[in-house]
Parts: sequence; structure tokens; C-alpha cells
Amino acid sequence: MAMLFKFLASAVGAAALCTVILALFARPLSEAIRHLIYSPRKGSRTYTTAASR
Amino acid sequence: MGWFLLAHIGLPLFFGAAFVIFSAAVSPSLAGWDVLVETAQDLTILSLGATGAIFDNARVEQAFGSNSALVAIGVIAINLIFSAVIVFARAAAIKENRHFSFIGGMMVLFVGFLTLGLTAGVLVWAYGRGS
Repeated sequence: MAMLFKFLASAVGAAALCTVILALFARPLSEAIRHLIYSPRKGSRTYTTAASR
Repeated sequence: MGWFLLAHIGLPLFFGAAFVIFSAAVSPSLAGWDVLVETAQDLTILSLGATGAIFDNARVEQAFGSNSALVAIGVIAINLIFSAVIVFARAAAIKENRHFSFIGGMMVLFVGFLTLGLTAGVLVWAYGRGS
């Protein structure tokens, strides 16, 4: 029983630690990825679709 | 100790980072801290999928003996309850047309990591008892 509690406590502690670490770098990481994918590159052409013309 | 840290902290973080990248790559308009909630949901899906494979491991079967299937179903049931909590939180946010705050997103992400910790913990338990 004591081993089970130790196991649960370590799982909860590890989950809390992971949450804090990931939450700290999740937003900068996601914004960097979005910037890489969705921002127009320098010198790239802007295309217009038939619907927007 | 090193393996324990890898199973409980290293691997969940790697998976979490991968899911953050996936979420950011496919949705350019995730506002607020919604990316944390999306990541939490992906973590629970991963945990549910990995549980079956983990209990196919001979060492895990040996550790839990004849109760192996029962423990596997129990872990899946707990993971399902946690994933239901995440879906509920997400549905409530969508219904009220609002985004998650930092604290709210962290709470949901914690539940997501808990499911992965539970699944990885089964392996740690089985290999820890055997050695």
C-alpha cells in the first residue's frame, strides 16, 4: 500500500513538473512554429485567388 | 533514477512538445492558451493508445500476474475519465465562446500529463518490481 501511494505521489509530482515546464515554453514554441509556417517570406510573391479579385 | 526521470518527465515533455508543434502547425488561429488544452487532449489519446501495447509486454504481464487484464482495463478507465474531464472543459469553453487562461490551460494540461504519467508508471512499476 505504501508503495502504491509512493507511486501515485511520484506520478502526480512528475505530471505537475511537466505541466509547468511545458506551459512555460508552449506559447513561444507555438508562435515560432506559426511564424515559420504562416508568415509570408521575404521576397515571395503574393498570389490572389479568383474569388478575391 | 535516470530511467525513472526519463519515463516520468523526459518522455512526457518530448511528447508534449511534439503535440504543441502539431497543434500550432495545423491551426493558425488558436488564441489564448488553447494550445495547452489541445496538447492535453492529444496526450490522453496517446496514453489510451499506448496502454494496450504496454500490457502486451511480458514483464508487465509477469508483474501483475493474473490481474494484468484487470489492471489494464482499470488504467484505461481512469484515462477515459481524465479525457472526459478535458473534453468537458473544452466543450464548456466553446459553448461560452471564450478562450482558456494560463491557469485554466495549465490545469487541463496537468490532467493530460497525469494520464501519460499513469500509463508510463505502469512500466516503471513493472520493471521496478522485477529488478
